[in-house]
Amino acid sequence: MNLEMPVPAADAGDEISALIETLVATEQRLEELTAGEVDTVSGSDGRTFLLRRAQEQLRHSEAAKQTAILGDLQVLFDLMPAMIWFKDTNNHILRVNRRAADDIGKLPGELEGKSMGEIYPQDAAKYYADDLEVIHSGKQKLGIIETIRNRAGETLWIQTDKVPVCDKDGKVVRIVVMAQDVTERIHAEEKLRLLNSAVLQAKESILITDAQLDLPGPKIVFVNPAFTQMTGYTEAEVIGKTPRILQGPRTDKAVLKQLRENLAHGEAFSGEAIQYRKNGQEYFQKWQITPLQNPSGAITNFVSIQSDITDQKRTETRFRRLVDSNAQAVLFWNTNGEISGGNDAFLRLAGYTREEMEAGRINWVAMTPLEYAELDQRALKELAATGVCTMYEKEWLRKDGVRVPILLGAAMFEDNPEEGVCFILDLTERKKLEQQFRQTQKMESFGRLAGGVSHDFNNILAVIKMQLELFKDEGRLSPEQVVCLDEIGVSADRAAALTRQLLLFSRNETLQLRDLDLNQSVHGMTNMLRRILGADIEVQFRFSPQPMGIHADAGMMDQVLLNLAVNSRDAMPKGGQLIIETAAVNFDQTAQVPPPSGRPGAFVCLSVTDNGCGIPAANLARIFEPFFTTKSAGKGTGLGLATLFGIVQQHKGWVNVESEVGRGTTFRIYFPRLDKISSIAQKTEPPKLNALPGGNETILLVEDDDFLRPSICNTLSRLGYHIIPVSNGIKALEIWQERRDDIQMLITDLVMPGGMTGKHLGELLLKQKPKLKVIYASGYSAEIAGTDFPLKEGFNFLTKPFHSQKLAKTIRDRFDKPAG
Amino acid sequence: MNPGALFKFRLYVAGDTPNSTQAKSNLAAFCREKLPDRHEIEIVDVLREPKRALADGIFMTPTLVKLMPLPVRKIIGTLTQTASVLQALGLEGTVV
Repeated sequence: MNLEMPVPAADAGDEISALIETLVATEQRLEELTAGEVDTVSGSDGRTFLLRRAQEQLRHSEAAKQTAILGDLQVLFDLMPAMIWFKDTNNHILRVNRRAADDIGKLPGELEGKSMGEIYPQDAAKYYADDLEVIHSGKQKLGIIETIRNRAGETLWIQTDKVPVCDKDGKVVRIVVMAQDVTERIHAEEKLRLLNSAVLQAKESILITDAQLDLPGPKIVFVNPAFTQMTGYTEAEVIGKTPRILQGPRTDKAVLKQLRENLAHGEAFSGEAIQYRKNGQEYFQKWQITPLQNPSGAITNFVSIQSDITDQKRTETRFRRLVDSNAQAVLFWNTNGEISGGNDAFLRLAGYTREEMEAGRINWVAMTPLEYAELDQRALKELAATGVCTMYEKEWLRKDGVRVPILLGAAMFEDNPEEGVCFILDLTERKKLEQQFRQTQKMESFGRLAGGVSHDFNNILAVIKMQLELFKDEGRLSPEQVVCLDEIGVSADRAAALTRQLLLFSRNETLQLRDLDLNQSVHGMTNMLRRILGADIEVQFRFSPQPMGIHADAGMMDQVLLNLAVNSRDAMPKGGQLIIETAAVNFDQTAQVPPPSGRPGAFVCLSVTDNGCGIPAANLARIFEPFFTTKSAGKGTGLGLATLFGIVQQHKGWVNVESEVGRGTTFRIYFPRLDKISSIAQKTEPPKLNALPGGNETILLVEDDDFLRPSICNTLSRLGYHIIPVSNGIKALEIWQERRDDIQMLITDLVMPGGMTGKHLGELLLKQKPKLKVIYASGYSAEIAGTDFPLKEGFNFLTKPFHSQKLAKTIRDRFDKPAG
Repeated sequence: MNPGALFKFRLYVAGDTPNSTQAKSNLAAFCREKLPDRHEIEIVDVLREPKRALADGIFMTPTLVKLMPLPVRKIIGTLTQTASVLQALGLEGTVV
């Protein structure tokens, strides 16, 4: 191949050398002429020559400048606090700065050429998505907030800018990524966001003012939604105004004065006062104001946190009212024993005045008898440990020195372990009731005992009487012997009457209503009354001339009289006069009806008058209350007149009392009077046994008393009956199984040993044979028989001891008369 | 000469060549010191505007031309010799 190239002429060398010499000489001369101070010279044709020295110096300075710029760029690249990546469009790293390499613990050189996926396996895809957006759009993407993991595994928040680098055709060939660590900023922003939402969502109303204390006062710069909710004012309505808009006529001026003083001294304030909502409604506000200082210490704002305590105040007032209700004694104490407050009920109980309490003159320790000090100490320990103490009983010394039994419960205040509240119950009444209750129980157990003894005693008397009758029936006795036997019989009757009195006293008696003559009842009691009243009391009986017919329980009538007599006796400790009178009275429709519960009609009046101490008017209304007694402890049950009242009511009557202190008392008791007195049993000689009605029916006799059983058996056998005697319910059942068809009547004692009562036995047999006739017998029965068990004397019930005559008649009647 | 008169200068340089650079800085220092607040300086780079230098009859750089006050004067060089510059500019003996 033949290339044409300019080739210097072989002989041009000399000429070139000559020209260079000339050139150098020319340069030297120009330097001399310009004293070295000129860089360029120009010819007249405008051609400019840069002198050689200037050329060299210019070349050096350009190079130095380039070097300097590159150096600066490198410094910038490496030392900038941002992470910088140069990446190609395939997500490979071209260059990174030191900050970016440090972050993942590498040297910049180690990262070049690596793919981003290798370096940030978890996040590379996310980053590349943004890269692709920039690559495709050709536009930068700035301010991406994202996370990156550093070599310690911590997650940092970064703000990333991505800038495309294009070639001359505008095609993106590289991408520059610059990221700044904004973790602290993000955290600060998060903190601020939390604080902001706390303020916005706070239940307490928050109000911030400036610190301008001159009139009209600090102006509101911020309020939260709770403020709007509480006051009704929106933020726009209050910004620039002063918090005075919330104050009104009933706002406590002293509190506001304190507030202003505190703020003027740069001190915090807390207080409570009435404020006003936008609609004028009052509410009770509790608030706390704290001054805010800038870094140089100057107060710039006041922050006020407010809450609506209207409900709390109302509750406080209600509790206050509860205490003031004085239903119970309430007091406020401290651990030194000082009683700082209490309600009227407490003051009444302790016997002090409010002035004395307010002067601090009431002291728990001084009020406590020595023996209770330890109990108090124990309660204090419990209070310290748990805040409350178990209720306990103790006594207090009232101001007048009287001991008062109390029950107390105490609690310590949550905010002050030195102080607390105490609720006190006055136990005086309760203690009294307890004592009365014990007395009643004593009486009851006495009654049971008396009842039990009477039962057995009656059985014995029944045997005596029956045997007497059998004896007399023999007919071979001399008249003297008959008189002796009659004497024995009268004695047995008196013994039976005494037993009955005992039962009456213990009230273990069935209500056995029958027609009777009250004159006879009272007469029957005369001996006993004289015995009870004693020799110092003169008793007068004034009987109405005609019989006083009433439908009543004879025993109860005796008890009524007994109770009145005993009361009169107690009213006359030094003796006196007692008048017992019976009279017939009639009340017509219009007048004369004595209070309290009288009614028109014909009545029998039993009056008992003494000339004793009388009953004070204040007590008169209460004498029929159970347990009301003016007698000293142990002497009276407080039940006497209450029982009387009950009995009189049961008999459809009423009681009237007249009393004058110092003069005496009259009790008048009215019972409905019977028209016919013919029905009243006249006392007659008992008929002879062979004159009694008999029969040939078969009777199952259940009686546990081994003496009484043969007596009854003997009497009834003579009357023609077939008797099957057994000693208890179990044996009765055995016989029943065999001879059920024969047995036409059951006569059973109500109270028997062996686990089966007469009532139970009767019910059992009646269930199997409804036609069976049953007669129960007992020395006492009311409480045992129960209220669901109707007993009728002479029909299905016999009170022991009974005469043969009554036994025979009851049996015959039971067989012959229809039930009813 | 009016001591408060405005001085207008035009300095012809060749890029950032050493003498030109020095002349620029000397002129700036001189003006700052001697003619504060009453001078204007125009820089003409003959490498960029060769035709203007030709038209202005400038044959070497750096060349300072005092355009005002008249008469127009030219000084060639780095302007290092203050005394001769003052003389050349007609400021000789002037107490500034």
